[in-house]
Amino acid sequence: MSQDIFPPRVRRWLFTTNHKEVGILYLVTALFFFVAAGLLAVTMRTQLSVPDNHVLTETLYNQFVTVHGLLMIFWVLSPFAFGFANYIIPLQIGARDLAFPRLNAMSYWFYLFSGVAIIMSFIFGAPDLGWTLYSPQTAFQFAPSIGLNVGAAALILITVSITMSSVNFLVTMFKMRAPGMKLRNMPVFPWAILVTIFMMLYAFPSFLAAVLLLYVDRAFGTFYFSSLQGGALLWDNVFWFFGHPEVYIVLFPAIGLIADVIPTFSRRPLYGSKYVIGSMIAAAVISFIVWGHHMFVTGIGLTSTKLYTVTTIAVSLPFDVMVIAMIETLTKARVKLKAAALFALGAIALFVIGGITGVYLASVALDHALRGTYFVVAHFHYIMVGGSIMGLIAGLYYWFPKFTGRMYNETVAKIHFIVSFIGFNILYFPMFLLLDMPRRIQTYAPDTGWGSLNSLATFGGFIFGGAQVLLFVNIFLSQRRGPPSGPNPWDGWTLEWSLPSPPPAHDFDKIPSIAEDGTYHFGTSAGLPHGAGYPNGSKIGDGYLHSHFEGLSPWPIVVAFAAFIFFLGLTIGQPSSPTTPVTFQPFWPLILDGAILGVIVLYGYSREKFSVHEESHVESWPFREVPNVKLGIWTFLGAEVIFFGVLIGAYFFVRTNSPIWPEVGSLFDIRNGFAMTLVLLTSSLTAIMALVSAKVGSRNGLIVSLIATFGLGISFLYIKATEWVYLGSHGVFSVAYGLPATSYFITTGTHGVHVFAGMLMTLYLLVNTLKGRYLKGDHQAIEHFGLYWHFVDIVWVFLFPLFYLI
Amino acid sequence: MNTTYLYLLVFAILVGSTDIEVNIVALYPSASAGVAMLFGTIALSYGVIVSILLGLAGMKALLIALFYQHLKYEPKSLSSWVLIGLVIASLLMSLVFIQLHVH
Amino acid sequence: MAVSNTQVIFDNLYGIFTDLAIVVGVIVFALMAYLIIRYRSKKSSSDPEDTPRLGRIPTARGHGRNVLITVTLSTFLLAVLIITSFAAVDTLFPNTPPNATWCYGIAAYNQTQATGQSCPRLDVTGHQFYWVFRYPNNHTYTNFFRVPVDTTVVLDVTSADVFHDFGIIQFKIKTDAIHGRTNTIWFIPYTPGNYTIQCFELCGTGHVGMIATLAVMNVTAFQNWYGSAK
Ligand code: HEM
Ligand SMILES: [Cu+2]
Ligand SMILES: [Cu+2]
Repeated sequence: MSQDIFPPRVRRWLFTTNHKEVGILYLVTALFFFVAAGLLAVTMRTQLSVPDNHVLTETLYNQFVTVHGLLMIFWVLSPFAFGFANYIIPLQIGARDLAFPRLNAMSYWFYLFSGVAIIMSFIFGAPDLGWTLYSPQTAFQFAPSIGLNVGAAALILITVSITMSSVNFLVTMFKMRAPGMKLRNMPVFPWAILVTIFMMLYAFPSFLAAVLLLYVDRAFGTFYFSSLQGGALLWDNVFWFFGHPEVYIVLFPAIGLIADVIPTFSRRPLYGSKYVIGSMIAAAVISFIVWGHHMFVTGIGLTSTKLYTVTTIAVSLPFDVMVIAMIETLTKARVKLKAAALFALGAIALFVIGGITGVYLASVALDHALRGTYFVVAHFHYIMVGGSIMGLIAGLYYWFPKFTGRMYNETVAKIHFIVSFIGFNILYFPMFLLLDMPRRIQTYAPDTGWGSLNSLATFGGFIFGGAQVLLFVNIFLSQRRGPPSGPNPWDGWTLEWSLPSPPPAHDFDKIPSIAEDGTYHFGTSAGLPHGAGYPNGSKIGDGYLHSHFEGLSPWPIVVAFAAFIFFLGLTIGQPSSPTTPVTFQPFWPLILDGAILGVIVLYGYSREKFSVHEESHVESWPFREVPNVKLGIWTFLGAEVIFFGVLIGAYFFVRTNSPIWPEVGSLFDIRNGFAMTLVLLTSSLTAIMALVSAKVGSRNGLIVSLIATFGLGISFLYIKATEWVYLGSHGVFSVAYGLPATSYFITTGTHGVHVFAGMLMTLYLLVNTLKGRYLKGDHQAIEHFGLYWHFVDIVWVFLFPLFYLI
Repeated sequence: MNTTYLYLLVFAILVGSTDIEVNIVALYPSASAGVAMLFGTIALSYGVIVSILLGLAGMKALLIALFYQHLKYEPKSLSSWVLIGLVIASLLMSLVFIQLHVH
Repeated sequence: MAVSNTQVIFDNLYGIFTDLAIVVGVIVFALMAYLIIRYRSKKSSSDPEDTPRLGRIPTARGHGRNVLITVTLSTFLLAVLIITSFAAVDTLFPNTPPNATWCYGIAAYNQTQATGQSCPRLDVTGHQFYWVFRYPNNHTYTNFFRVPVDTTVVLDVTSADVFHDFGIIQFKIKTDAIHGRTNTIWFIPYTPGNYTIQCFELCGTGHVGMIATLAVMNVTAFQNWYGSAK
């Protein structure tokens, strides 16, 4: 693929794989979506400012409320944080880049295209039922809007993006820390990102599964969410099982960076940093068992609601420790109230209010009144805007000099803080008092008495929104004209401050190391004395744009584009029946285009020579012996476990919730299942034989084993297809068979797609084998394929009894 | 032991236990009056059979993971992420079970 | 003003939470403000000894003991909240609701009252975008319903289509209205008057108008109304 058609600057930004540039891309894009979602919010506040107002129609209001929520949560908060993470984490742990730079670029482009998709959904009538997408309202019969489909495509794309990043960051942080950068020596920001990634790794697959089930229901008329045995409660469970960890996912990066900003500006070490880190881990673990607090009024029974009350209230303890530690840090300190410090301290203060009111909501008794009211809105905005956004803005000011080599205007930044802080409280505090007012309503009657508090909130909204103009003007002008900042303007201690601002493309001339006594060593020179600064080798503007680091790859963006086309094709379409729409027809030509393009570009991607040097002397506990790619695959398999776990969980849910279920053997032929099991087991044997052959250097053995694996894969899919056709032609796939058919088709179908993907991989391996690769010591690709293939086999080992024998 | 033989042995066990799985289904109480065995007729309760089936599946999965994915020969830490995933997935199912069946 | 038993229980519990929240909030914010002012950077002051510096890992700081004390104190506070919440929820939303008494005195149910039996529950069904209330005499009313004051009313709430949420605003109770499920709530109204019922779950275009009125009446007025309903 010729990259030369673009001018160098454009090419740089389109094809970069450098973590710093990708970081900047994330930040700029996230800020763009921040403005977009913010404008939606300001419009909604205008609509709500007085009773019986009609600036927005109800439909439009509902669309705004939904897209605002989706954008802020998925397209602003996490990408904003991961812009920092991309840029800063490798610097702070002393790595030169992420483990898989191209994958990282690809994550970004998936993110960008997913954002395009969600904005595009407005063309087709954007989703209008709240970011929580409650079922059964999402069933096609209630929401026959293609906009919701496109929204689903956007969510799938961003989930893929996030999963790729999670794998990438986990491998990087476990395998590429500078010598002596033990886990316990990492600053809190990387720790927070690490914990965040863990939650992402395990929470997002659940969301992917949920959206997938929803999509299949809408496209093919299956029944997971429109049946009584699945329906609303099934969605509530799979959605919130993801949703609660997600709210911590958007918070933790901000907490982490605040915990690094406060010590820098108060000139004292973080109080009890190991307890802060421990608390983060504890909260992350508990976050997976509290989701039921979003279901307090669904009628799940007292045992459950009490259980969730206790877990939810318990999760406030670790947050308690974090907050107290940050405040204690200030004792005997020397607090410099620069803008970054102001935002960090302000964020903590607002977070405290959000956290305390969270405890109200955790009480099932109070929640019967508060659920679905503005009290909830106030609660999570105190946390997500007050804690997260304010914290991330602290990060923006803190690292701005590092990114640009220039200082911003401190006075304007301080005014920005003061106006934001006051505006914020005028905006959101009245909402606590509106604890009778339902959220997500377009307007309200005058006699409700909600008018004045709403006017006040809207007034605050304008102040808060207006204040952000100061931020944008400040950073825009300063990155061009600000005075030079030098490498370490805040006198910070973390490694990024040892580099010139902005850092050169390769970051470190010599990888630093940390000695046993905690001192840094930069190549030959000993640890730098305080304030001495690192020799500033580069002029301002010499950084990412003009560096000559050869890290360009055209493939990430095109792969993402192919996926974008593919998922658009899957979701844009026509209702199958214009009169009584129950399902819709995907747009096959686009799907085909996307698929063909996808195969071509993935081939290009994997053929491209893009090797990343693995430093051997780095800290990599506890994965010292494990190569990066293998660790990446196992990490990915960890996410897959949740993905299939949730699919099986959904089956388990409807199965135990259904009064009757067809008897064993009556619906699915056991002999078919038996045959497929044997075929897949055998294919695992051939896959391992391929590895054996590659290791001993037997080219023929390798070819035969791969062909056999491929053939067995085909046989599996063939039997599966005949079974599907048979069941379909016998009317099993009908309302009468409802959930048994639904769960079977979706679960085995998803598994089938995995088998199909594996077969594409064998084909690719086969081509390369014929070219003479993989023999003697070059067998890694065969091994990695095997890990995936055996996993797919293991899934079937469970599906077989679950569907055919139980 | 030669690895190829080891792999074949594992394969044999996998196939063998699959065979047990499909045959055990005949012992469901509803299946017409159980199966004539050497010592008479037996029928197992539904729960027992389901447990046996899932147990067998678990054993097969473990064998594949240990030998074909050669976790047995890797550092223990390598399986952590998958194990954590399994723990979280089972938490999900347990809490859902409580929701559905314990009030 | 006490309008229902549920509202009274809510207000008390909310009061306990708010009192504790204010105490905790004031302590935290006062501490924060004090530390910031007391230790703000002055020209004359110099960096503390253990200032984190580029070139070395900062020295560890902080006592496990202090953390333990904080956690213990908080656990104690939170335990109070859990216990009071459980007490409230056991009364408000038990798995089996108390005996309904709204029908006592009405001719058709006199037998019920004599034996201390429970009155039938009232059915509430959410539709896009209105509420339907059904009495045991099979009379149905759209967007309004009536109950006698000072009696126990038990409602079975469900939905005919999508996910709604039935909330009686002034009574501080609500429950989801879900197709295929029935959720039961109960209350004792204390004061005659009109109260607002609104849908609390975005259920489509029209949700904003999904409002109904609950009229709490004097017992005799209610009995006359119920008896004369055709
Ligand atoms: C730490 C960061 C937190 C974030 C980002 C956050 C965010 C949110 C969000 C977005 C919702 C609303 C979901 C919806 O219905 O659309 C919510 C609800 C809730 N939050 Fe938080 N929250 C956080 C912390 C907490 C804490 C510490 C607690 C309890 C101690 C808590 C308890 C609750 C409860 C119980 C609800 C459900 C309210 C209801 O729907 O009635 N949250 N939170
Ligand atoms: Cu939550
Ligand atoms: Cu509604």
